[in-house]
Amino acid sequence: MTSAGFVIYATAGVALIGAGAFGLARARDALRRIVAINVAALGVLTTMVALAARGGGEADPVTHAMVLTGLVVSASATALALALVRRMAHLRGEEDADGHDG
Amino acid sequence: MGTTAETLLAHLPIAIIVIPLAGAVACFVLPRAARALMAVLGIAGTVASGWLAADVLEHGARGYVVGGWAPPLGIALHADGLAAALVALTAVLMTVCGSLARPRRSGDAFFTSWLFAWAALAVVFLSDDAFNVYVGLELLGIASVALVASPGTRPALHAALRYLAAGLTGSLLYLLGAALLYASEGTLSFAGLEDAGGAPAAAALAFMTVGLLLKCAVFPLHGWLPGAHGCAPAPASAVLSGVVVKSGIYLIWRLWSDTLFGVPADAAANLLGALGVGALLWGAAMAWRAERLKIVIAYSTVSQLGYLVMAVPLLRTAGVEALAGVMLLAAAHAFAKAGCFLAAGAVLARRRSDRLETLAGLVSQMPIAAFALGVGTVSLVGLPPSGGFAGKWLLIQASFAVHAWWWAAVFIAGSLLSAAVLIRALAPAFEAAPADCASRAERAGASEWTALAIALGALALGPLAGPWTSLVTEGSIP
Amino acid sequence: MTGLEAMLPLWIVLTSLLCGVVIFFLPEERAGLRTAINLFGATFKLLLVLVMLAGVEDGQRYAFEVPVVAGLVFALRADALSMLFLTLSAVLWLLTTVYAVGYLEHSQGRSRFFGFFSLCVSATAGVSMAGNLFTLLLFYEVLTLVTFPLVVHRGTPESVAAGRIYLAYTLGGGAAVLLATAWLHALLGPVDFFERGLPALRTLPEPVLIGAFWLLIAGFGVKAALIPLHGWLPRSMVAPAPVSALLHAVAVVKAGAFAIARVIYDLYGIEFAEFLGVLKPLAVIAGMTIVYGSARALSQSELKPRLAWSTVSQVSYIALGIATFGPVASVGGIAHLVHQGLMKITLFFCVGNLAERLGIHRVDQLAGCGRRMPWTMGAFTLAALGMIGVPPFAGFVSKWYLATGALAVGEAWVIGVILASTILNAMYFLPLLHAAWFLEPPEPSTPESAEAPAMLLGPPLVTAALALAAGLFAATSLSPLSWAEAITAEEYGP
Repeated sequence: MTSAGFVIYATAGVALIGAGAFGLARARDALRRIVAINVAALGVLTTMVALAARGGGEADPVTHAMVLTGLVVSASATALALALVRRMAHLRGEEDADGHDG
Repeated sequence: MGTTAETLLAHLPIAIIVIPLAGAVACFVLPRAARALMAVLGIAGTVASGWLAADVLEHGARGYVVGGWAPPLGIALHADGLAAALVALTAVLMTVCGSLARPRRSGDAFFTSWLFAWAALAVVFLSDDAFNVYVGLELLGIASVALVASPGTRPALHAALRYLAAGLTGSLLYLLGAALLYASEGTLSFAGLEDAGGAPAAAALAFMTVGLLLKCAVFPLHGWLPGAHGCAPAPASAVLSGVVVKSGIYLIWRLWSDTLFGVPADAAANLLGALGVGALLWGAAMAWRAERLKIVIAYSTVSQLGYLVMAVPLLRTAGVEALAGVMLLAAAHAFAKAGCFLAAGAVLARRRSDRLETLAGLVSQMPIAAFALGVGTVSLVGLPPSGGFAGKWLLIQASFAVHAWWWAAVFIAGSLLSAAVLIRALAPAFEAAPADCASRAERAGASEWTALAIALGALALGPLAGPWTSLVTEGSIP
Repeated sequence: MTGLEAMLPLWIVLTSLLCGVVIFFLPEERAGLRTAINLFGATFKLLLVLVMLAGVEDGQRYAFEVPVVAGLVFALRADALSMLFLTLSAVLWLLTTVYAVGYLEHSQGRSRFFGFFSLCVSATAGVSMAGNLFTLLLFYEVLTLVTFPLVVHRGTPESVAAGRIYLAYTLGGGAAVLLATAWLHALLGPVDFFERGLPALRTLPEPVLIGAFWLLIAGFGVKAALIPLHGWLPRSMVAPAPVSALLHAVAVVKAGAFAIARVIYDLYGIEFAEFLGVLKPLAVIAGMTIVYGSARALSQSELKPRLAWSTVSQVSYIALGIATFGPVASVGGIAHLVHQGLMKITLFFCVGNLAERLGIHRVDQLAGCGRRMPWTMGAFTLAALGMIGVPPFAGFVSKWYLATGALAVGEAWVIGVILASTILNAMYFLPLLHAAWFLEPPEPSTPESAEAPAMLLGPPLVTAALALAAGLFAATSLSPLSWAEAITAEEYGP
């Protein structure tokens, strides 16, 4: 990867982290927070990809392994978070239904 | 020793991880047999951990390379005294508290999550490089969130989501730090990082530390803990407060006093110490205002974690003496807190409420639970002859040894503060029951006796402080 | 000395510990079994103590040590001073157990009560036999913990409030002792008790020594009810009578006074303490406590608080005796440890009987009760006269030695304090005696005596007799006075 490429990826990574952090600070509900954290996670991983190729020549496979692991973990955690959000909405729906009946 | 035993011994570190891991999968596949599996694997895991600890005590630290593939591509495990002690502590608490868990439905993934959490803790404690630790922390986070969410009620789910958000953010910060570290040092193995220094390593340390602080609820990043530990079922709260939060603190100790010791960060270490004091005070203040017993106990964890973080500057200066003290404090806290949560759970189950104003008559109606709470309080406050006292004593001596006498004053003042908070919560239990209630003692259930047994473990750590500290300091920081 | 015999100190602590643990698990209804275990434990312990006493008289040295962690050693030792306190508490435990069984016959939670009661005696035994500052601290704090459930036993809001105040004071005191102990440990290593003071202590700079001294005195002074640390004692009178009797006449307050004696005699050494100049201020504080306590006792209209303030005052005689630099005064102070224990416990037993049988809690209800409960009031009278200091009662002996000792070293103000306190004692005891014996009871007395049953009457009669004997036979070699002389001789000797 050329030096310009490194700069682009690194900048993109940092920008994504910033966007995610900003979104996290401004998030009002759980779903938005999850999305924000995902964006930030992608930012961190992109930065790592950039760091992997910094020295020029072959990209470092160990870092790529770390990035892949990070992606898998992030996906699983997001799945759990979404399941929790769905469950909470379901409970809220039940409560509303009860409220109407009662 | 026969060669079979030697082979087994050589593979202990990986066995300690694999046993609960395989068990988690088995519990998922065979939910009906989950309780039985839990019991069997609990005993196996405890025996393995105990064996490892005994071996480390006698022969020193032990390493293991998974699959024979050497690092950096392979995974290396390293069991020194500190790790072995924590692994043993985890095994005992996981087995004992797990035996008391009563998930809502038998098809639940409760035991699966439980065993995943155990495996993850073993990974965190035994790993020898920063990235494996990340994997362990993630697994731990997911499993713990599942445990918190298991009651399925609105407050529990809400607390679980907050925990998850905090955990993920913490992991990201940690990962960022690890990436920086790798970029500047070229390796992530703890052994290789010992000579790290310079600005990138310092920045990496900062990121990783903040991430870990978030994950283990150290002030001021502790907001998710009281809700999560307060809403979880009692056995889950017991291990969450007992060992799960210790995983992050363990890593902070490692990084600051062992691995990245070369990084010139003494001022930052004192900042961490100050955060510890903040945790102590804030936790006490919030516990003073709490109205439910479980919330008081959860905020007490926030407070007690303050001691463990306060030890960081001492670990950097006083070395082994401080390590012995802080591990005594950590182990005593694990037992005492687990005992308190289990007892509070029994109170909640029997009386339908753990609000402080309804505690009157507890001492005559549920004497075993009340006694467990009392014994736990003795250790949390740090009164002799408990392990909490022994830990504080060693830390006070360490402070005097490095002429940092203000820490000694903080430890003693902290004891008085914890005493005030816990006595305020528990004194109503001594009041006579309202006239219309029976004041005969009811038969104590298994959870009450277990709570008492665990709390007595905290008391036993006082006299047993010698063996525990020998184990912990074996092969650890010089 | 065989191995078993060498572990006598440990056995003595363990006896009541094991009894306590067993009693905790007894069902409430098994009163007979519980009483049997209680009495067996108390008697067995007393036997062990007497065996050890004989050994110490012979010159045997008992020691039990086990290292804990990092230079901390758990050490039990039996010397003359320990035996004094230990024997007193063993004898009085037996008597109080008998009394408590009778007093609490129909109460709730007796298993819990007697369990903690036994643990309390264990802790007291540990305090008396502590061989180093750490062990003393250990048992001192354990004493706080196991007495708390006894103070709050009744479960009323006042009891629980009194218990919280008790904990606030005693845990605060414990923190002061912990700080001093940790400090000295960090500077010196193990802080053992050594006859005439620990030599290594003298190598420390003076400010450190004086600071540590006052921390220790403040910490131990809470239990010894030195002003201004005495606030918990009158309030803890809401506890049942056996608790007030044993704890606040013997175990807790004496533990504080005993600890002060240990610190001055066997940690600093009396001569060194005098050199540091800390004895005079302590004597002044003790003197002020004596007068203040007696004055407050006068203004109490209820019996138990009156006795509580009297305790505040009388326990400081011990501190005053120790802090007055001179062997004779010290003899008076140490002997008073026993004398005051015997007399005060008698008074509390009797007041408990009056409350139980006749419902008397206030001073103005005492009219004529001498006719209705003659034996109880008889014991009360003996003890009260002893407290005032009428010869030949024990109280007179201690006061005499204190006064002459003070005069011998030129501290004449001490005599003033003793005189003032004696007058005040008379002023708050004599009216009680007068009302009991010389006034008519409010309603015509019933034909049958309202006297207390044997279990409640026996103990006060025994302790009153002992108090009388301690005074009458003070010159013999078995008396507390001779014992105190032996202890003092060791401390001041050539």
